[in-house]
Amino acid sequence: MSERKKEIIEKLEHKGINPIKLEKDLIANLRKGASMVEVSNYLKKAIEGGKYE
Amino acid sequence: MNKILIELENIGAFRGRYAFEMAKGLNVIYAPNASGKSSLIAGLKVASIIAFMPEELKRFLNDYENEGFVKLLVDNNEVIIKLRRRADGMVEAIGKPLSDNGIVRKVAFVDLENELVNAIYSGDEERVKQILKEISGLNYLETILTIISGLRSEYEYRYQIKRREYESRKEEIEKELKETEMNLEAVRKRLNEILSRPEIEPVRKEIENIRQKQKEIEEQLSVYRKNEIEIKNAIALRDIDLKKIEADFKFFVEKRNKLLEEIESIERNLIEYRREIEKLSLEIKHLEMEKDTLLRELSDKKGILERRKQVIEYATCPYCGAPIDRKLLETKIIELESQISELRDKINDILLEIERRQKRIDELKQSGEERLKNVRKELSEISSKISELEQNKNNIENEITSLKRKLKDLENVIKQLEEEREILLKRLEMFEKEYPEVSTLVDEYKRLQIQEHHLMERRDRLHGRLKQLEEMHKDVLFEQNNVEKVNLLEEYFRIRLSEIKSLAVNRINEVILRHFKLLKLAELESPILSSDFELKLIRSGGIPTTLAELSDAEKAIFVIAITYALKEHIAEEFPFYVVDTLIEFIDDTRAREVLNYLMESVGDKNVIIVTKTKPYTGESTILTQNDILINEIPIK
Repeated sequence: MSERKKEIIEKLEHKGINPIKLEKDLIANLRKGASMVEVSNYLKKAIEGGKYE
Repeated sequence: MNKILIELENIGAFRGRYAFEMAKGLNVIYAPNASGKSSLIAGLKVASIIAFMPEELKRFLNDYENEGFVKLLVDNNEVIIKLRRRADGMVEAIGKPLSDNGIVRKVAFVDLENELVNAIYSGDEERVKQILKEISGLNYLETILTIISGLRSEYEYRYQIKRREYESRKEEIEKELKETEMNLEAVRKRLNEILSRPEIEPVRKEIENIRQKQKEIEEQLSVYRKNEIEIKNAIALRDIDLKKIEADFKFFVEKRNKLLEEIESIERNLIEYRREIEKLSLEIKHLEMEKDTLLRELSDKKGILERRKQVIEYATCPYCGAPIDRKLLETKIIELESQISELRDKINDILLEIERRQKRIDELKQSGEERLKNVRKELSEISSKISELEQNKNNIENEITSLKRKLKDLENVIKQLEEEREILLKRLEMFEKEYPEVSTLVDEYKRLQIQEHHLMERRDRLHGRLKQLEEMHKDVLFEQNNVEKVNLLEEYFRIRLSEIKSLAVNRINEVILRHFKLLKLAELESPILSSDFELKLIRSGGIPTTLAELSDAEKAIFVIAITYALKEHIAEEFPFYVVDTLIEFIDDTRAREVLNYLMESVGDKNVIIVTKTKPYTGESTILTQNDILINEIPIK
């Protein structure tokens, strides 16, 4: 894993977002046929909720 | 545990129950055509993958049976999937499969049903690209990045708007504050000037006393005014919270009322539902008994039919010694076959009736007791939410009452101080009358004092507005934080995109090139796949070629290399990798090299299954075009 990626993950985790889990969830949702709006809402919740762990 | 057990009943070509044992590492299954190799793989698919449509499942269940199952035991993990034929002829699967990762079907089961295999064999390069992007998750990451990029613009815009509004308001207040301070300073300077004038001498001492007292009062007023502003701000904030709670409270109370109505309606119908369930259960019981009788009759008739078929060629019956009348026996056999067919139809009709009733029972349970249970559970959750909201509402209301009380006390204190200040002004007015020679100066002094008071009041209000802006600043910080998060997310997904591109693509290129070279197949120049999953097929020497031009063996090796590399990359945890039929396209010597590679790569980590119609010959020579023999068939 690159140093920059590690740093980003740490920063995001510090801000309440687990990007690895988020990526997995988003891809799983898209594979199940989620629309762009649904994915966008999911991301907004993760960003604004701040408790996406 | 290295052993993997798979048990099948009525799956594909298998009628009845069969069990197979496999081990971690490579397993080559060889058997003649139509002997059940693909059925075994079908069983493994049923136990592994979640996303099968009823029409697909229909192919997995044996055509002559209505029920079947697959049992899989791997790493102490047991999976049982039951297949059941429905009344409409479709088949449904019951049970939780080994993996819920839908992509497993595309990378771990390489057979003629596989989408990627079909795209490669039909030479459709664009389709191959799309499937590869989908499998690797690349197109999803691209979609996510597009969405994040849109969100970033949205958050940036919101942040800039709020920041600008905050800064302009702050600037405006600070400017006003500065002006007020300057005016205040000018007023105070003038007040001091008046006090230093010699004409004021007769009243100087008195005025100085008044000034001192007024200063004290103004200082106190300033403190109380600040408190007053803070309390007013707190009340306004708590009012917002209260309104939000009241809206939630109203919403949940309405929801609770609806649930109560639903409970009442279910309870009214429940007795009726129970009666109908009892009646249907009894009917099912009778139908089951009828079915058992028919099954026994069917089994007896099957036995008789089998015996009659056995003895038809004999002159005398081996069971009773009576001479065989072949014609009569043939008639009896036809009669028996027709009776058996009728019995089967009757049994199927009964099964359909049972299923219909069972479905109705399930529906009744769903809309009756089960629904009641769920609604009650939901009601209890909503009731506790309502109590929680009520509690919060009471707390906030109490807090507001207490704050309002404090505000009232403060307002009284301020009022008292204002009255004291008025008395001081009155005293100044008295000096004007008592000492007419200084009345002009005293009058100016009095007006300046009033002005000073207003300016101080204004200054305190401006400080209060600055304090209010702190709330707005919190909003600005929240938006700023969102912008930071979205920027970090965008960078994270960009890194992931480039990682997937380089890791997956490099691995696929490496595996394909290695095999094509090792197996003396058409040597292709690197890279075969671009970082965007675009196929670039160039034969050594720079001659471009297409996927359609590759031989079947090359395509088979191509597809195995791609799927295996992708499987290791995105579904490593899935324990199986299956190649059904495709290995037949590759000659034994080359196939052995491919299998060796798979065997070495997998070690004892996972299970690789390859099917083949006959065992390997042991042939070890790689033939070239010159070695091809064409039988000459004479033309008559």
